[in-house]
Amino acid sequence: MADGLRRLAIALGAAIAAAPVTAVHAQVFAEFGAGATWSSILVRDTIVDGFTAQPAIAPTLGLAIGTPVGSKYEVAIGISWAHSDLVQKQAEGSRDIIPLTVWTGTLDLRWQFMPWVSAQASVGAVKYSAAEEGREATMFRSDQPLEPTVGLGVRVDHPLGQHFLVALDLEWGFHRFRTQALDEVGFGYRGVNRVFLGATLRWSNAETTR
Amino acid sequence: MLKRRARAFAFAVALGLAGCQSVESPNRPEPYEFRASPTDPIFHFPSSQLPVRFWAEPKGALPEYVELGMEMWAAQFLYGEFWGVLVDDSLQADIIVRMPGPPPPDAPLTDDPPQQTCDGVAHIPDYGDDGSGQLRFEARIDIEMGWFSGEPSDVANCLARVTAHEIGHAMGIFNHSSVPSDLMAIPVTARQPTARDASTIQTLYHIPTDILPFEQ
Repeated sequence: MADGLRRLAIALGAAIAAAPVTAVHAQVFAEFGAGATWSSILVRDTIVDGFTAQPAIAPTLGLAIGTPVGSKYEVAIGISWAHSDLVQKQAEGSRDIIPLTVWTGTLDLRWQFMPWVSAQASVGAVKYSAAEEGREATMFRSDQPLEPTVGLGVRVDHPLGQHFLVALDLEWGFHRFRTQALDEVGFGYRGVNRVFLGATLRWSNAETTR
Repeated sequence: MLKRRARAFAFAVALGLAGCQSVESPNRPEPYEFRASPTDPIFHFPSSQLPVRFWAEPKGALPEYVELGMEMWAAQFLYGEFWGVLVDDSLQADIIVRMPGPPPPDAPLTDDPPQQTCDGVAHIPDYGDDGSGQLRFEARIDIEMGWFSGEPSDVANCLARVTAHEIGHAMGIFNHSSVPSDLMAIPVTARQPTARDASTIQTLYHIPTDILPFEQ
């Protein structure tokens, strides 16, 4: 975990240092997002028959605060919560393994490259947390370390009055996945892709000028 | 400037992707036969009936040994195939663990070499057609534990080991391993399931069960 945190701190520091801090007139914005996250397979295994373990599409909530940096850039810090079942899928069907929550904290750098359209790059960390009940029989029986994550996204937004803005977000994130229980039986890292699609409501203390 | 940043980010993403091993299932030891006879029907608790409910007679540290055994077996799984809870009411239990006779001496578990100062037996009930064409046990699974005289710590260690072994039978391993170091071998010298025990119980729980547990 310490290693993950150190890498996250370095990544966040680098991102902040890279952002040209100019003309910050104490403008801040806060965002609330809601949508759904699709995740790729966490584990592929064979016991008698082949199967996979993959989170179901997860309802996702997000919060972020940020500030404009220059005329076309923004920096934001966000946290998101996604909750769904981890599902075992095989030829004969599927079954729920355990409820799973995925927390993600990111530092986002946005670039408005067209009116109402912006691109986003993110660095941060992801943390999986399984429900208590029955966790001892799963790959999450030991704490899962924080894993660094990187992401890209695109946003289409539209003003909603003087201080509000509504946006449609499409984001992709990537991180490595492992747990101690998987390590112990010989699994290594697996790359996991996550895709979020959702809507965001944003409030800003400055008038929306776009 | 912007292009340089975008390139750096793309490079970081590519590096992350390249750093990941797409590891498929690891090599597990060959499982041993879990049926008493290769033609016998298969039994294990179905995932729809989790958690499996254990009742342990409140005698000495027996409930602690049962909890320990239950947790050790649950920890052999990665996908939630089996886990159990202790219940207060034996009528609500799927597996009953009893200890006729006097309570065992109270002693902590140690790493001392195993001594055969106890025994146990898992009574697997008869099964039959439940009227719908489905094989089903006609009673609960009953584990009976006993102990002999000996050093208190030897008795405690033995009871912990043998309780875990009998729980293995109650979960569906109706056979013994031929490898003496396995928990499911006799005499029981292992403190916890080995990789071979784990491979065997995982295999069993990934095959459809022929017999369903007793329905209360």
